[in-house]
Amino acid sequence: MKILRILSFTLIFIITVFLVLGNIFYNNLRKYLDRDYLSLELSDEILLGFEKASRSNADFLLYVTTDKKIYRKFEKIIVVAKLLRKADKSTVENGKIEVIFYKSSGEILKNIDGKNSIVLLYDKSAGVWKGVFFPLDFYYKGSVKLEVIGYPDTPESSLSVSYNFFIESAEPSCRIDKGMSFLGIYSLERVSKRNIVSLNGKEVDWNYLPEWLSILSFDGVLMLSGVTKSFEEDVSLTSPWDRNKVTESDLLAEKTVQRGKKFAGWIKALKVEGTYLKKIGYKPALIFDGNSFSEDSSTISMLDENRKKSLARLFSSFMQNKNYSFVGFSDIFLPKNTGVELYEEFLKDLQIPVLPQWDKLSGEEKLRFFLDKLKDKDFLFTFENWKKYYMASYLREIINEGGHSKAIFYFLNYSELKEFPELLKLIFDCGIDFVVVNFNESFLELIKNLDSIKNSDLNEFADRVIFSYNLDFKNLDVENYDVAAIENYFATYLLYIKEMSRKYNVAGFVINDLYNAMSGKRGPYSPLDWMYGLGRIVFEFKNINAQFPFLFYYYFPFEIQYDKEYKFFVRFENVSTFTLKDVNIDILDSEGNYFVKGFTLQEIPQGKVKEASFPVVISKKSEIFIKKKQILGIRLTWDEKTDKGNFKKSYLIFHTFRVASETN
Amino acid sequence: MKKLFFVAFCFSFAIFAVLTSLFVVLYFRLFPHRAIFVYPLSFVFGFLLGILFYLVLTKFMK
Repeated sequence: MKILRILSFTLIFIITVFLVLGNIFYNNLRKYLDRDYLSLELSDEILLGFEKASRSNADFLLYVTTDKKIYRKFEKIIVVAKLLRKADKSTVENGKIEVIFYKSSGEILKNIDGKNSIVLLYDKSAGVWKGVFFPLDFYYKGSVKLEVIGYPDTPESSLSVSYNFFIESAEPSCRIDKGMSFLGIYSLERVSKRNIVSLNGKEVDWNYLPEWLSILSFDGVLMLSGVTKSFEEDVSLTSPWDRNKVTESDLLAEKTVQRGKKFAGWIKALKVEGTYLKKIGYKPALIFDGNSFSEDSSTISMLDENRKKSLARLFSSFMQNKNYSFVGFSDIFLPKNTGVELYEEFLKDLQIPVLPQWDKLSGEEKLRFFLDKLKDKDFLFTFENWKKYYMASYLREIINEGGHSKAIFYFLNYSELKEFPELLKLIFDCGIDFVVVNFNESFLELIKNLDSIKNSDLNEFADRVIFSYNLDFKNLDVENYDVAAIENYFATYLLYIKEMSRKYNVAGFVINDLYNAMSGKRGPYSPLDWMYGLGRIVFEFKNINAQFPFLFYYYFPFEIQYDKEYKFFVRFENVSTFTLKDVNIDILDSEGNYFVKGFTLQEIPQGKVKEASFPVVISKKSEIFIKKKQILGIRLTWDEKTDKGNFKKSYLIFHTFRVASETN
Repeated sequence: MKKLFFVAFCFSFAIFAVLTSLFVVLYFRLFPHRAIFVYPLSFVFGFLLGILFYLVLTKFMK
């Protein structure tokens, strides 16, 4: 008992000494308790914005402000607060400030790390507490009430102050006309070096491109204009773009506009062709593979200021070029696990404690510290969510620098959208006016996916979506199924355009692309077979959008014998406000030879129907490849008189048929 | 010794109160935004002090 008594005396003594000394030297103790953080930079503007919201109790004053009053979705929210002693207006340096965010419904708006509040950190040089909030609910829009709770370093009740701001979704600055049809040119090679086939089956150069636009009645060209080819000798940090490609885009834009068509050019932002980006001098993006990291030799890091500047410059030059109707980007949004090199920005924004003496650590040590943290699934989840905010701010910065005087689009692969379902909303909230969604899946897969498309964001934003499907014979041909690949291509466009929008209001479509139809990926079908197919897509799409001066119906058998005469029936109904003159019909084969040339209806008065028929004999041509179906081209041309003068208009559509055996 | 019990009790009570106050103040100084935990922690701290002072006070009860 005596020993216990001595022990308790000793303990009381030790506790007393600890409490007395602790209270005297508590600042020194705090140094061990508070961990190191990376400092957030603040603009002077925000520091002058105080006094707006304040609250005081008997001894303290609490002020709060945010960097903006109205935010877009996917925009970080900077909160700054001050805690002062009332008596002498001195800052309570050892206080703590916590911020909770509430939706207008009263529900807590969580931070991306899943926490209900953020704790602000004290910045001694500015005498303020600061922190960044990233709403985890990406889709929330409306009023947000922010409650700041200040805890002074004395045993007194905390004091709180409220402040309101708004999160809004961005409205498009520029709208595109409904029902746009584009011919895509996604070729990495220079177009001026590649031959195409003309309507009469001859090989011609790229000067014929505008002619195809007129023949098929496309509204314009959508072209990949800005590419960095890392394997080329003359590429440097000051001149990273393939200048020849930019020049020929400018030239094609001019020619397209001369034809009364529109030109859309886009820039491949962070992806380069080839794997030599370090040779150019760019910083590569880093990929986390679960344990360590590796460099992505074809993706430039978002931290690379050189790339950001050259991207903004090229974007701005396209924006200022009067021949470009639309300017776009692709490859800005990083896939999962890519972009690990952004770790310092992340640690700073989320105010995550770092190792002591962080600045003295080597890049390798810092990265190792971060990679260890990334192994935690929750941490990785937070990082991926934060990346969306970072990518959005990157895109916004470029748009702000380059200007926004015409519609801006983003070229998106459907696989990216599947990986980040919120990408579409993110893109639109960055100020993008419309997106081109490109599908690379096989025909059967797309048909299976139709239901998921119906219920996706694509449906909600249909009037800002341009549908694009990769023309590739191996994706389109279905074994044991007696349908031509061209028919499947055509059917996919019509089905997707229908299913992607409840009101048939898809903004438009683009063919991906002209050179797939002209060369490598066309299968046994000739370039002209494909062009007839593409023309049919334009024809049906314009029909849906009521952009025709007439309704056109025809009948021709789907099974025919060679060298036998068949009747070709046509029916025109003039639904325009003018008289159609010289409506001409030509029937062509796969090589551009005419079966019928120049069957003409002289005049179709306004509101009248005209029917006619003419004989057609299809003769056999020697075919190298076996096709599931044979293709005919039906070309309609007519004169259209408008206020601006007389114009020759044209449509070219396909008709498929099987060859019947002669015994039938 | 019994006569001294009352004095010892009062003295212990005073030290008890001072130490608890010091604990609360230090806690606020070190963990201001964790103020909510000061109540349960003070209870634990007081319980610990109570045991220690019990051992001391029993000396004056004989």
